[in-house]
Amino acid sequence: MYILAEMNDVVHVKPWYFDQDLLNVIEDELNKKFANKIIYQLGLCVALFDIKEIGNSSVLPGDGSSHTKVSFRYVIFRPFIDEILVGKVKSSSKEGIYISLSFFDDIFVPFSNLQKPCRFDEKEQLFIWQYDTGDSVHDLFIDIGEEIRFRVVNEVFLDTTPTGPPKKNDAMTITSVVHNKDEIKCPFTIIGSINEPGLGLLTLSSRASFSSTKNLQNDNQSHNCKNNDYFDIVICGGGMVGNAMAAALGQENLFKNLKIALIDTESNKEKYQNPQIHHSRVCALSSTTIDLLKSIDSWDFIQQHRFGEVHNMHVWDGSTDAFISFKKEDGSNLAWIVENNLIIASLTKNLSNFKNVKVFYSNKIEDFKQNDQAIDIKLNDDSNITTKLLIGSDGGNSFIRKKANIDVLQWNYDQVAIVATMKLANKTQNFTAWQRFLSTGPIALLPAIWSIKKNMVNNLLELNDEEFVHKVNQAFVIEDFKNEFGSGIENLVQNGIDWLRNVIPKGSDYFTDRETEVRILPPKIASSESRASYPLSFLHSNNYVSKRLALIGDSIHKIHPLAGQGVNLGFGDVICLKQCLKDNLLSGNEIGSWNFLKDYESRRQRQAFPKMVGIDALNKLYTDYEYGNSLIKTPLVTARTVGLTLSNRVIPVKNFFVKQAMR
Amino acid sequence: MLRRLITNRNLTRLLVDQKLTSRLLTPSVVSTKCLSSESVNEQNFSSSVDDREIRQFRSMSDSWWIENGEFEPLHMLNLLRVPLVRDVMVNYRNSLPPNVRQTMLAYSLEGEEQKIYSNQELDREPLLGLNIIDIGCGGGLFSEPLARLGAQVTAIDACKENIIAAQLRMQTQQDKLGVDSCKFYDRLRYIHCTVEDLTAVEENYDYFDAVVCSEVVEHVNNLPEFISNSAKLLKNQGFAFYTTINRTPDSYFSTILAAEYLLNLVPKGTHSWEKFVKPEELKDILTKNEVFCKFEMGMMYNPLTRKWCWSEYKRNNYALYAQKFKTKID
Repeated sequence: MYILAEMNDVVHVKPWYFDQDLLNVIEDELNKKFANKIIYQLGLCVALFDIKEIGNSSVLPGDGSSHTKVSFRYVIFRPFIDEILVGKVKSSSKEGIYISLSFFDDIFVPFSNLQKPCRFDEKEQLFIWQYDTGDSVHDLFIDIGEEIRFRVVNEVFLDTTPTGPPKKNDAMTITSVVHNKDEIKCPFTIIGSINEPGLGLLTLSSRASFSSTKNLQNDNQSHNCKNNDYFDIVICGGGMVGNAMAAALGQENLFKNLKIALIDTESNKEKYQNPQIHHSRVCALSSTTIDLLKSIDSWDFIQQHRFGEVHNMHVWDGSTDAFISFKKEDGSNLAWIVENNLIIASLTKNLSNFKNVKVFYSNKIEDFKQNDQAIDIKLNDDSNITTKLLIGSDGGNSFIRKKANIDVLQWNYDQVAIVATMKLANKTQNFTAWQRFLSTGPIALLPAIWSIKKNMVNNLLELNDEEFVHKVNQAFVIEDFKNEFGSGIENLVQNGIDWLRNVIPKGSDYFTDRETEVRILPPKIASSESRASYPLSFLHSNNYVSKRLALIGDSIHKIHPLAGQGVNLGFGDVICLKQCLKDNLLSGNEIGSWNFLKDYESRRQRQAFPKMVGIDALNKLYTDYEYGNSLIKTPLVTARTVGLTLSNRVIPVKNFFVKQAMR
Repeated sequence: MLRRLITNRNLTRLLVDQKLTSRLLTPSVVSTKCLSSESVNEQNFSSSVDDREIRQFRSMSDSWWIENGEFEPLHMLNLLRVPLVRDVMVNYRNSLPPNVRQTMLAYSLEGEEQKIYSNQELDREPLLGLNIIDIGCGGGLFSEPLARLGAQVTAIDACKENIIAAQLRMQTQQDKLGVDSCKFYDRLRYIHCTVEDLTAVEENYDYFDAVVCSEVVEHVNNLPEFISNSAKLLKNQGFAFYTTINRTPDSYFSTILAAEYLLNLVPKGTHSWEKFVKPEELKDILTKNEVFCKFEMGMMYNPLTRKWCWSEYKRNNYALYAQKFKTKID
């Protein structure tokens, strides 16, 4: 903190001190001259330490004083870099906090060196350290007058010796010099830092120290980001798809040298308790998705907990009895039903194992700027990130998509989905997915979604559980808009197929038997819990990419849940984008180069768009319209009846549909 | 500005004579370590080039690297030529005798023991340990991907402006992203010189595993000398890659009439048809220098999709690679 400086000076002793002891006078003079002054590149002078040598005194003509050459040592305040000091908080402003050592006031801790995460409270004009204990966030105020421990990280000397008038030719600098004069110049400023465990307010340090190890980890892992960090890939949005993207990239050997960041608006969801209540938001995962989850080691975790299997699927029409049933030839599952929060937990759990992935929890992108070479991102906590590729997976209402000015094709369905967890009446396990197309919209059991016209939804949500269960049971069996003509047509088609089967050689290879039993009824439901509803919409983004930006998941496509394909499309994006990035790296191009983004877009659009249109058309085909009368309905019903019956019995057609649903 | 060199071994061998080193530009690329330190006259931009020129170079270096700017066809060509070089060179390294391979893959960091690149590292950066020279590198569009894939790339160009533009690109990238984030630049260096300058020093003979001349041959005045010089730099069994334009009526129509005058894809006067090279001629010269053609393929550019593809049609652009087999081994 203090150093001794050896100095030489000539001391003037005024004639009226000649009667006093020369040593005392010199001491007084030296203290008067140097004490509390700052010497450029040396430090703050405190007091005289000792006098080493006094030379001969001389009196110059025209001046009565005696001039004595003295060599002495002086105590100088000059903390060394990395020294830990204790001071008091003097004031704070947006830039940072000022600390006083009572004799020295120019100690400044800039915002970047404060404990993270922290924010500046405009009302109180104080900094608040948002200390995360794991389950809750504490606001710790850095009050004025509090004792604070800090580390010296830098010292700034400013030469304040007066300078001559500025020269004429640099007119530019005049204005800046004048401007500078308004501010008070500090000849010596110490820059401090409190961004370490053990530093900061002394009143908190007892608390901070026993959790310091955790704190340190936290700092390193999620919060401590330098003012301008660089990441090769930044993924925005911590939903299922965003997490899967981060895990997929983190796991691949090829990406091990890259720096990947995931920005999640929520806090860490790693802790997953197997709750008694089954969550009502579930996904039907296709086998491709399962393969992806297996490849990133997340499927084991899901298997340890719970999931439902779908072995076969029955779909039938509410107006006629036409139906179709699917089953995989080799007896494997058609789909797996998993709760959304379990999927997220299983993915998040893995992320911490990947050294190349850094997650910013409870953070979000405030703003970003795209340019040819990179994207500059500004985060919520004022830190900046530069990245070569931004991947947006922030949902249907994507901020990133809007900011990048990507247009979408979008409409709301006149339907609302109701999801509920059901308990079956008989104990037998149900491995079949049931879906029936009512005139108000399809109802399905297992990925238990009932989409229904908007004006009817309130009725259903207001019902008590028993009445709701009754309604659901009814919906699968009661006679909907019955169309005699449609049923007649169905019979005709069935007979036609029977005839064809007998006429065409090897007909049984192409057509299945006519199932005499008209249909198997779904099991009765006993009770239901956790009912919720959400509006349905269709969304397709015109572009999947923009400069240095790729979008995945719901931000580019949202569809009707009737086929349970929404999230599988999102996972499909992950697989496709990962493959494109691999190709990108292996051809030596830099991450996020335009031709690979374009490649991703064309590959993915070709896969996703037809599927979306198909599902949308299916919904439109089976939903009644307000203006519809039997004139329109009859051909519609006929068409779909013929279609459904044909696809159920003509084997190649059926296989095609199974394949589509599985992808 | 000294940068840590991943493999000193590879760079120390390349000695360049006094005449050449005095022409080297920023010391940031050619570290004093790789050249005998007395011989390097460290020149800074500020001393050799004035500010206005730097600004001009900066805009030029930017224009090289805008992916859909005026050099788009060259950027897109990377999709063909980089994988070609990658696959051929990976096979080449795998076919080497184990002990040669071992020394090629050995590296040592400062103050540490010698290590060998692991298979995982080779998966990530398949060209590790290989020495490649890019003759006529321009703005470094081809050199940078190769360095990114792990190769030690020496990129030379006779045009000073190109070298400065390429180095500026390297510097701005390092400034923006941080030196740690683009370590592969340690493996890449740009030198302003000609092949003749390199062959003036006997030490450079038999040094490179691959010679890459992409879209250069059609600008060269004395082709036989150029090829024979570049062949001298090549190790025995090393590969030489060429992409260029065939001298046919088709190419006159497409690269001169269409590209320069009708579609304005490239500036007028970029190419002169007389200098285009027929593959047979190129192969002839190569064979005279004990470099034998292994593969020859046409390349097609579709100006609508702006993509290149391989094709059997060689009357326009084509690529060929050849392997050096010394008959006299001394």
